[in-house]
Amino acid sequence: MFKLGNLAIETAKHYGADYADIRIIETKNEDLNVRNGKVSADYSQTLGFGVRVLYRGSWGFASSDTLTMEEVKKVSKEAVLIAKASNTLQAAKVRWAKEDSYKDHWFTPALKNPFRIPLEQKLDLMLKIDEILRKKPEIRVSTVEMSFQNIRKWFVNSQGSEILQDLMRSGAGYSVTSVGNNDMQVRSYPASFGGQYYSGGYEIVEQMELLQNAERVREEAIELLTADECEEKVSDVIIGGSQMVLQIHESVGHATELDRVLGYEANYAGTSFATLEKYKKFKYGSPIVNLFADSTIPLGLATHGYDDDGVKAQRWDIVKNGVLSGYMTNRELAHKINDTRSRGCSRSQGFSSIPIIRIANLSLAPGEWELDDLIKDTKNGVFMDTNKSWSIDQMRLNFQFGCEIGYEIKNGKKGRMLKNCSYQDITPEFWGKCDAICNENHWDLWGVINCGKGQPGQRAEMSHGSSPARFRKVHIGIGNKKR
Amino acid sequence: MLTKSKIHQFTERVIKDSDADMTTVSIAGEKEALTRFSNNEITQNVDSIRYTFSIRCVYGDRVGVVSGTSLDFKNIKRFLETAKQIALNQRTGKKIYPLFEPQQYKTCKGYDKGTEDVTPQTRADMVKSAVKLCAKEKMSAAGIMSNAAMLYAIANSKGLFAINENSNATFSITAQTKNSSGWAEDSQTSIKKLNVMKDAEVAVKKAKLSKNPKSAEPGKYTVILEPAAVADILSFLSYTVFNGLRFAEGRTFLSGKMGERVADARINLYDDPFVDGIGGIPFDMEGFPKKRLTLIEKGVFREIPTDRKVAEMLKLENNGHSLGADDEWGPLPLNLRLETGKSTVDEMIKSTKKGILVTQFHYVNILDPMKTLVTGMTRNGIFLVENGTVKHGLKNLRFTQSIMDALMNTEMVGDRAIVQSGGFGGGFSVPAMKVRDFHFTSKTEF
Ligand SMILES: [Zn+2]
Repeated sequence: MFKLGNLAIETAKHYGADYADIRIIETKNEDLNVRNGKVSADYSQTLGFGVRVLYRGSWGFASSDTLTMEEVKKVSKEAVLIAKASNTLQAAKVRWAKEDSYKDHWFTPALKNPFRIPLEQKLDLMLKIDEILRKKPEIRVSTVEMSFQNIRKWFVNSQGSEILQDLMRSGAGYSVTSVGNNDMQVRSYPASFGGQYYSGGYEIVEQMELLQNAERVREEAIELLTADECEEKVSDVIIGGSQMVLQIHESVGHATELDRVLGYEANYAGTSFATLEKYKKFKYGSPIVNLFADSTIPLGLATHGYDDDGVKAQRWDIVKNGVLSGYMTNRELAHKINDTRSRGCSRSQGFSSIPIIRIANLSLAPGEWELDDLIKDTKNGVFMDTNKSWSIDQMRLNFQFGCEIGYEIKNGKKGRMLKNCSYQDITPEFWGKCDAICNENHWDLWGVINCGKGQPGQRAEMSHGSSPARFRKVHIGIGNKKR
Repeated sequence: MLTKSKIHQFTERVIKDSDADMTTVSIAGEKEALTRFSNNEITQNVDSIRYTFSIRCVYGDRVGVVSGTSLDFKNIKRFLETAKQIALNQRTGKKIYPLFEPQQYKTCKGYDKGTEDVTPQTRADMVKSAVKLCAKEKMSAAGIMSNAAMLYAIANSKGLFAINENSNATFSITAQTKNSSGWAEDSQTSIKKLNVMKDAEVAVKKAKLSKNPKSAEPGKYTVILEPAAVADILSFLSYTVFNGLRFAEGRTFLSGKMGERVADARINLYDDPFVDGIGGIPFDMEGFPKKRLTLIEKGVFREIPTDRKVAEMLKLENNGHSLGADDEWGPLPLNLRLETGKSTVDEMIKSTKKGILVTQFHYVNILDPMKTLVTGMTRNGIFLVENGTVKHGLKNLRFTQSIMDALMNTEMVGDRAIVQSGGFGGGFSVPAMKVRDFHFTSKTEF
């Protein structure tokens, strides 16, 4: 594979490229789904390569799924021709940040290769869960999912790097839809939209306690049908860990992607309020808010050895003691914040997509509180968890999120269940209202597998760690009955 | 893209090599070239051809599905073997419907060879002229110019073979000043139908008009939604209220309401893959001919998409909306068409005492599918309308609104529709709308 890689580099150079890299990518996916007892299994495999070149400071990119010497040469030449066309409308040349060259083989630590676990064993667990979930007539739909991914990626660039990475990801989860009382409600475990995902092997699924939680999840979905609706009002809220993940993703992750900040996404995903003059000054949140990016964190979906620019994985601060302290960067844009080196956030969906800046694993550092103490300390409030709906404006300021489940907190006690919970605020104001974060006993990493960005659209995966946290005086229950 | 005969050869070979009781192959192909620009310069220029194929093998009452990306004959045996393993490894079977025999289809017009073959240089030149206009106005432009061709084919061991091709050219531009932005987009079957200078002018004009926006308080307003804004919210009806399976399972706003008045009498809504440029496919993902549906007629709920399973549940005919033989999501209308009315956007503005004109929405998402309650932000040009004229730009607002309520509260429907292809059979055709009591629930800072 490295031989084919070097052929691409030589060809691109021959046609005038100043820089070139190639990624040869092989992916393997297994997606299992049991819906109302019916099994679907989808097994997919892809193989192909993408060549990216810089010609006089302009980009060109081309790809193919035919892995032959001829095709590699043809596609490499095409990439240079495209770069030459781009060069006709180019005000400033691309400035490519320095990075050492590496010859390395990096792989995800995984104990049990999920592709070698017999299909029957996996389906057996899924069908058992399905049976528990559908024991009550109110449950109209039960969906149990498992998903495994293995990516082998060969990276070669014109600066001498030859890197092979072998990345493994495993995930599982389930959700039920209950119908009755003129309503429909959803409850999921361990998280919504497919469940929980980590980088690693099948051992991850075994540790999820999927079976043990099925009955509780089913009963919660049924109870939600007759639960009171979360009233529209201003209230203190405690946001659970799995919902915090989305909060971090949308209001900090995307907001600190440097390409977005600089207007590269202005026509599509949008821009960001976290502009460069705010760097190292702006109060993003209260002083207890610390968010760090980490491409080396165990179990993270964006954990790797190197990014798609060939930059080695790092850990750095995004928000330090409440102040905006960092961005997601790549080799092309690092110089815009006067960094000499990229943070390594350049990733692509696959061989036929060009690498762009993606959110790294981004987490809220744990605080000091036990969850029980935090509830005891809250006079009037609502505890909400598990994401159901999300929306945020194009500069990442005004957001409104919906949660699957909520509980009223009255005089320090968890009370009645609430449905249709939602909350809305403005990003820095909201993080400024954060006055308590639970400790590491309540902290977990949660995987996001459906992050969309770019034109043509690309999907990426990353993880966010968080524990439950409290926010004072937030607008909740939008569109519901007012109190 | 590969020729029809090459695609046919691949499907034939799979079916020939398979020892399953039933074999189905589907192929989706996309050739997409896209030039992206921001801050008045080209930032990205990509070109890719991507195929995905899916093979479904049925052994008795067990099913194995595999998918891959390389249409290389030498991989076929390996994929078939995997599909067999998956099928035979399942302990429980399921109800299997027979495969369809070869069918007759109507044609969808949506392919232009010239559009598939546009060069990067042509795209760069088009972008250049539009960007020049923005730069002259001291605005920063961002957007895309893309050309694409999509094909979808399905074949089965009963001899059915169906293939459909679409092409699409899209130009999209956002013009930005320090505190405002304007946007325009055009999506066509043929690149010849694009007018990038006109789009650039619209974007610039909107950005100019919305400079130094004022703040509006949240509340209920009469809104004039331009076609793009209508598309942004109407598209959610497809999988919430018009999902045949959800409807049958009593999980939608419309469940149990067939034949009832559910929208204003001005509303006529269809699922229509045969509209020029909508990117429709005349057959569903089991190869069954797709029927045009009247979803809402003069405000009355009439038809719902079905596949065989849903048709059985509802005691209706199969109208060709299957998303696949093993689909568990439910049949959907992929080509919503809201019939045009008689009003121009100018007439909507003139007839409005106080209201808000919206160019497009951003990040719309469903809050409560049963109520069709959605939330989202306005984007790239929102204006206060007073006493029949556009007064000034407004800072963006968040809305939280039931779509079905908005259809009930419709006062005027526009006389011109935009048609947009969403790729792989999806797309819609919608005009502007004037709607009363549209609920804006919070503000933002810009
Ligand atoms: Zn995202």
